[in-house]
Amino acid sequence: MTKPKLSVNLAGLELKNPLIVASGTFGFGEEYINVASFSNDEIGAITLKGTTLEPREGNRPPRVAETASGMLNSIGLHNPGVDALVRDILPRLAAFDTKFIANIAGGTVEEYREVARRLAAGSNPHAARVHAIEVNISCPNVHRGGSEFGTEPAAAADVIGAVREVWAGPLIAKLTPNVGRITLIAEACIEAGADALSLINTLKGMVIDTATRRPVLGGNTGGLSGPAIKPVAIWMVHQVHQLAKKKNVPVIGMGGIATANDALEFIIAGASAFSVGTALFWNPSVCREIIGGIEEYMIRNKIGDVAELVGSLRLN
Amino acid sequence: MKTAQRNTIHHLACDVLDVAKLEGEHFRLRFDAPAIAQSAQPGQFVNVRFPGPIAGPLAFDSYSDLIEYHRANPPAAAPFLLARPFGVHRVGAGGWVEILFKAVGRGTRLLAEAAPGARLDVLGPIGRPFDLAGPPDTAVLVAGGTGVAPLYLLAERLHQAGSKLVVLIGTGYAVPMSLSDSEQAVHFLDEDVTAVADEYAALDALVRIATIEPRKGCLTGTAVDLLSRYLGKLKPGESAGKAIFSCGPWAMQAKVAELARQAAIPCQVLLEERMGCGLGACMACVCKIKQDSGDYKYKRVCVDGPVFRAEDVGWTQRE
Repeated sequence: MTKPKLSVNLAGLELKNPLIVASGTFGFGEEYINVASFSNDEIGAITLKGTTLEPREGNRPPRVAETASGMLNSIGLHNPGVDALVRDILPRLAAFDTKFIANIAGGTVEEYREVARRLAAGSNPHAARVHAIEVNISCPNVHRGGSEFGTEPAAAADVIGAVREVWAGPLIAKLTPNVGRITLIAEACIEAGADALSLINTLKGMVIDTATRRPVLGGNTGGLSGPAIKPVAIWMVHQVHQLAKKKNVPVIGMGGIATANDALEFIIAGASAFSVGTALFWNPSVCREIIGGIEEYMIRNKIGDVAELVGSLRLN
Repeated sequence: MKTAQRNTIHHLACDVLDVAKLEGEHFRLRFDAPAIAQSAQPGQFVNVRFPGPIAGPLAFDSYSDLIEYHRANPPAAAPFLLARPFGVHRVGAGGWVEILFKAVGRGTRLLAEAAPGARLDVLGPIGRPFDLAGPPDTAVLVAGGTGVAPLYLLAERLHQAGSKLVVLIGTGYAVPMSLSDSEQAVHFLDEDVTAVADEYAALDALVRIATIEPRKGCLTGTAVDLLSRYLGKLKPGESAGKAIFSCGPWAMQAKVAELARQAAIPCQVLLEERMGCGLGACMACVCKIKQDSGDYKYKRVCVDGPVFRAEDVGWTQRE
């Protein structure tokens, strides 16, 4: 059998394979390149760390706590600001043969719009390095902005609509699972102009130190990621895909992916592409393993194009 | 956030060669990793994932494979996900690397129980090492608890570079090294403080030990007490040509930094913080570090450190 086709077109974003690294788990694209067994060029796309208008220092440490099959984090959008991203980081990314997705966040609708505007051609001399924007309306670790925009359909639509006005390229809305009906938010984002939806962000949680009776994390609460959240994510991807496919809006699935089998579950549930995040922390070779594993699966099951698998779930 | 040029980091499956039990639930674990042994610099660390429940396959073709596997190999407890950082303690010409740790939680206990031949998942060497440019005439190494581990590789390299060594170790009671009595009295301590750690003594180091619980041959006190007495006996002008290198708990290192400042002796500290990735990507292991502008900013302990200049660390900005 000829080599199966792994490349995907995600709302105009051409990826060599459906593996995207998740925002916040990969710094600004250069942290893993020192690992001997890792190459950025093998990845479909890299989502950069969440970026705001002004530099942010983030939350006080401790910022991570391991939990059963998961990890709670409270970083708090620690980032150098959009101007530093454009000036210092984007030029260096030209060295890599992959696609870059900027992840943006803000405390107000206007801040989201301004960050997107500064990334767009016209204000950004390196705009060619930003292949898509992912709008983070789902960060659980900041007081203002973040998930408050992701829990109300009207607020989500305001943010996506504002970014849509200034950003002509692929626009991805990143959704939070910390809601009653995620499909309502998904629908509002699509109506407001999102080209794709990514989900899920982390689930809000807390870990307590029983010796001190205080939360372990400096920020008190954090976002749960890792294998523990995968079944929740699969179910939400399935639900959102049912809605989004009617509008031809692709879904990027994420939440606890650590193996090729995990990624395949997301694809079958309806994800056109998927993101790997926390698994990178304990296995920097995970991307290579997953891409190889998907290819093997496709050969074994005589699937020529990964698109054939997307949403191929048959419910019992 | 600027990414400095860094060394190659190896992601390896390494065989455990030996685990030695030392005093007070301390363990010295040796594993085979020639690529890391050859390139590790003092102050760098390795990220180690534990054997035990996670030693089996991580990827399964299907859920039925996974279920079958877990029926045959019921996990004793939830497996660990994240690796844990350990300072490189010693490296050997044969290509081995050693870490030295205290078994405090489930993870370190699993490591302590690892049998020779067990597989470890190791990432390293990682981090900005001690700056050894222009080695000092006299290097004063100050270790608190298992902070003694990464300072050994440093001592070895400083010794090779021609520095005289003073090694001051403080622990609760147990000392994770073999001890002897020195016949040589030291000018800054009473005559009955004679215990020395053999490994360091073999590097011609002047070694002394303090324990919080009274122990024969040791000063009753802390590593900071040892340093304070040593510095107190320096005559005017004797600070020149000296440098302090420290590793241990935060509060101890804050005091070391203050003593170094008062004595006008340059001081480098190796910091520890809870880590996620160990590669600079997740921004978890931050502490406040003074910038050229004079402002304190969060920097990543894993790759911007773990070694910092003591005067740059925001010692009072942790809470």
